[in-house]
Amino acid sequence: MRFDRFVRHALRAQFQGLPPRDEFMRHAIDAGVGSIALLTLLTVFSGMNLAVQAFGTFSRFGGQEMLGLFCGVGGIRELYPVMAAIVCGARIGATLAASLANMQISEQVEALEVMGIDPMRRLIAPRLWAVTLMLPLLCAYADAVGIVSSYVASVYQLGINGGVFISQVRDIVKFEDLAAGVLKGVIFGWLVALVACYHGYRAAKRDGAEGVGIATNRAIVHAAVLCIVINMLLSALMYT
Amino acid sequence: MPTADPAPAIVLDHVSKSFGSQCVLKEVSLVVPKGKIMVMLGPSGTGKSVLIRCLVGLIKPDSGRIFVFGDEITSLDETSARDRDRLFALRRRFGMLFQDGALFDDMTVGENVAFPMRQHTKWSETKIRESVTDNLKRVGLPGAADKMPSELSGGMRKRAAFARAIALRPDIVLCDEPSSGLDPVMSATLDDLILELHKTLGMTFVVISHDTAEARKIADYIGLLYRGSLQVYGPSAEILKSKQEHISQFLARETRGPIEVL
Amino acid sequence: MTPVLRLLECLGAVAFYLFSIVRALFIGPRYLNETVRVADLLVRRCLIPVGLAVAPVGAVIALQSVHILRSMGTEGLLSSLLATSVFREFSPALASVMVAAQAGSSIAARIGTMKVRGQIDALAVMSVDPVRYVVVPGLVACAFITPLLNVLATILGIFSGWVFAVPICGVDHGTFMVNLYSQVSMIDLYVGLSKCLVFGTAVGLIAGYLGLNTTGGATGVGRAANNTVVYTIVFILVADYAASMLLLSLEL
Repeated sequence: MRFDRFVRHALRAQFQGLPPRDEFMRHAIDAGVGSIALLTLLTVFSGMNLAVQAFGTFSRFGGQEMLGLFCGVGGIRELYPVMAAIVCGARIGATLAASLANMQISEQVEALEVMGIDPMRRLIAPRLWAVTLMLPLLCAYADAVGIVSSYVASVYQLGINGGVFISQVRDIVKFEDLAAGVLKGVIFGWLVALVACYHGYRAAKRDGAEGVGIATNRAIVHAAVLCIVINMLLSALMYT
Repeated sequence: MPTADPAPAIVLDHVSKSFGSQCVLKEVSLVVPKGKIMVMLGPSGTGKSVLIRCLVGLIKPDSGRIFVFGDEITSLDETSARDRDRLFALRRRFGMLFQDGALFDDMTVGENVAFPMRQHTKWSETKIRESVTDNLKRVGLPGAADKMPSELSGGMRKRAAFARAIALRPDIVLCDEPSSGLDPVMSATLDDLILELHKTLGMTFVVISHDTAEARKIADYIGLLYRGSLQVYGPSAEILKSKQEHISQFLARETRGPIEVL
Repeated sequence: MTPVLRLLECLGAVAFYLFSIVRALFIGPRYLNETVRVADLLVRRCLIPVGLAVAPVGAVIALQSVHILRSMGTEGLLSSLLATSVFREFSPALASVMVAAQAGSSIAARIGTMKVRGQIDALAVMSVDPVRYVVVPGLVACAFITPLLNVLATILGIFSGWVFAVPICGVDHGTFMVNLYSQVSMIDLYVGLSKCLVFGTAVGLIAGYLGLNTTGGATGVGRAANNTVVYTIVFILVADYAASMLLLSLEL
């Protein structure tokens, strides 16, 4: 099935009424709670790394006092939403693709069709809703954790004045930036879910176990690349 | 159009299907009378699975017509909403047993069997629970309701899938190679189950198989599909005695004959 | 008690695995053909994802930095900032992450499928060391190809940064190039390449280990692929941070 046909069917299924609640909850919880630990770990290190890197770079030009500005802008506008999208997107996307691919090769999707259930409505729509709603929350969470990590690294490892850091962040980060981050999260979430469901759903029965691996692989790579490229386009739209 | 018995369950009229350059079904015509057990034999990979999927509309033939209780399933167009509804309604008259069961991994066996009831009926929870217990007992899995499919053996999974297939007492039950991968005793158990359900509930059965012993045991009608063409088809008494070269080679388990291993 | 035992078991298995790899690298028959084949496949499959991942980052860095630097009056520093962050940080990290996502998951899936289908056992029965035949070629290929891909990614990153800075945002081209050349040194290049060497090795190691230990049929294969990407990303980010701290203390 080509991607555009899949998207049309998926969209129709998604907006044709509420998805089955049990399926939606299951995937939402898995996407959210399942990603939190990983996201926290990675955002902490990213945030600290951002501060250290910025410090190293800026101290060449005597600009290390601007650390708060840079961490605020670079982090909240770009790094944390994209990182949340890539990391969570990879993990969530892989899980979605693998589970759908597995259902395809063990004929569970056909069983649904034979029982008169539309697989798009029962399988795809809840997944789309779950990830589209969860990822912006995860992005917001990443923003918070990231900026705190940058602060900790700046103040306790690099000796920056904490008050200056915080006031700089307050100056440079506006409400629009936070909203933009959340909006990015919604778009990324929807894209990740679409791509992952597409690859999982397309798994061919005759590929067997290999088909699951292929679907997972493609889902991860396409989701990650898509998020990065779309982020660039969104940033260009929002910030030029 | 072949002469129709009173109210035939399934009629195939010159059904053909190709995938790319490979022709899997070549002008297949047959009639399955209501309430009978039809076994379609044939070497692996000759289009039997495609045939069974055409019956239920999962695959659309390139040409030919398929009638289910008089309704033409091939004329339904999946892109039209009204036809889609009619297709789904028609599917509810079928139950299908897939080759490895195709139970849903994320639900217990009991929830699997209850699934069609929950989706298509407004039965109360009590009634559903009773029905699940009854169906699982019929297939010989009385205590399995709370187990997960991964905890069952292959034979048990198929029987659980059977319970799910008959949950709504469909008019036609399709079985895709029910005995594949099972030892002879387990196959015999499954065959007995088919006979038992047929006797008590009167459903029409279409069974895809390459097990001739199974055909001998349960079939009212037998067909042989080889390289897409229906070589023979008719009441089992006739077919089992037939001198036609394909079917006699197949039944006798002979290597010499028109059927070649690819 | 059992979790502790399991942890020890796991550590033992990892140690044994690493030992087998070291042994395969230094002694005995080497499957050079297989290594070259995997390397070729890697380059062909990873080139586009890596390029598509790093190029936009350069653009975004340029985009966001232009505003801040302009407000500080130090717009000319844009190319220096771009160069340092791309060379040292974003290119190695992102290139490695994409290699992990593309190559790591497919290597893990391939080895996992072999394990699930009994082909790994079949190799062992034929007296062929599975680690030597299946894991090491992929490992060596990843370790060497990732730095190479990084070079390309860095170039793309700088170029797309230039595209956003000069034609689109109006930074002066001359200033851009002068500051670029003056700021970039060989150390930046070495830092990026050695990071990629380490990250690429990690991808190969993790993919191999998880692939060889796949259980549970088709779902297990998906899980191995998924976990490879996750664990590798964790490793990359943690190691990257450690590297940054190290470099800072060494004043590089």
